[in-house]
Amino acid sequence: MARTFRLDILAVDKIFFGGDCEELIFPSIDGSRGVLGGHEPMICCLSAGEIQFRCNGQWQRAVVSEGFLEIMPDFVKVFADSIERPEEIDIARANAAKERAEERLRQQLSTKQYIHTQAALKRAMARIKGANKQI
Amino acid sequence: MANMREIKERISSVSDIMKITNAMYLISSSKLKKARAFLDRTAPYFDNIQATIRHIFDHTENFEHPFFDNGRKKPEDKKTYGYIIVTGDKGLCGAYNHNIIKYAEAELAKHKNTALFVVGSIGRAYFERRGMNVDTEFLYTAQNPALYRARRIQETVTELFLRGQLDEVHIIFTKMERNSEVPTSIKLFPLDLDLFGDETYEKKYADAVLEPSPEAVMDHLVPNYAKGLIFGVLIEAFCSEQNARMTAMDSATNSAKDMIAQLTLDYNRARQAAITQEITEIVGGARSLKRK
Repeated sequence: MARTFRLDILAVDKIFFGGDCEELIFPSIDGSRGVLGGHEPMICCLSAGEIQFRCNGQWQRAVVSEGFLEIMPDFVKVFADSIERPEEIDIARANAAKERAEERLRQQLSTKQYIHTQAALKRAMARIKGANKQI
Repeated sequence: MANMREIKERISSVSDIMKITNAMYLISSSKLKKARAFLDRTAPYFDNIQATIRHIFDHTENFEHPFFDNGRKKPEDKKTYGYIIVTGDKGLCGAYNHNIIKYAEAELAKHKNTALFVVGSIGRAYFERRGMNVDTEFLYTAQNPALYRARRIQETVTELFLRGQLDEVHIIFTKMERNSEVPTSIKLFPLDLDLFGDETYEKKYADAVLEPSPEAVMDHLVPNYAKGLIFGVLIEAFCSEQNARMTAMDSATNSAKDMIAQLTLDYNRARQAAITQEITEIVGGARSLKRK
């Protein structure tokens, strides 16, 4: 039996997951990272993408947007703006959002607008990627 | 006593207004129900984020970061205090707007240089009329709080804070407590640890590492936290507004009912008096005829 830790995944408007977990893989701002039980205390930033976690030997996936994590030896808390299960994603909407963002990126933008649009594009891409794996 | 026609008109105008207040009561109570449910769903995130930030600071070494830059070595009268004030977009909600504006004015009077960021048109109009330093490009509605709006607000104030145009940022909003609304203020920037409750915390773990670097983590984490906080504040304020409107409209409907009852009584009295007078006139007339 693998060593487990308590995992809480919180979105702004819901508690997405709460329970014991064996392994967690998440996209950090500098690449993908994995967490097992008894990890050293760490604070990390979450970037838009897909997180995976294993409970009772079963892998589960979810698409997240920006946020952060608090990792302690016996618990992990994930905070994100939005979290969705792959089956909840509306591909058509994500595609439309992607196209809109790409369209905007072609125009002259202020730095702030550029950052906004890039973040939107990243979210849309993460959604599409997460949902496509499902099928 | 007023004449019958006048009273009748009065009754019909009061009952028309009662229809409006009653409709507004129903609308705001359904909006409140929705907002309450939303508040309940965001509450865990909100509570957890505060506890976690506290926990994070307990487990990190002290380091320098612009977000913690307290004081900035400026004398008090050179500092600029930024205030985000959350008011309603509409009136007819009892003392809600009045209370928050009065509270905000008392807070603003403490400092010499202030900059206001007002959410909701009632407050914006009020402070603009007063000639206060209101950011005119800061136009956000208080209706249906959304995350992207919280993000925009956060970006605006964070940028100004980091550029040094604001030295402190506070949020003034109305908090729901049981069934009453209480104006409160919380400090957003600079972060200081007293913000997160001062219960003596027993340190359980070793110092946490911040990956990839403390600066990078703080650059992401703090705006994220601020966004969460602002979002929670917007929802709480929206909830309070609906609650205030609901109570105000309920009591308006009740007093309209009382008024109608009183006016109906007056009307009946006037009617009776008119009948009595008519009878007296007829009887008097008949008697004088008889005498002849």
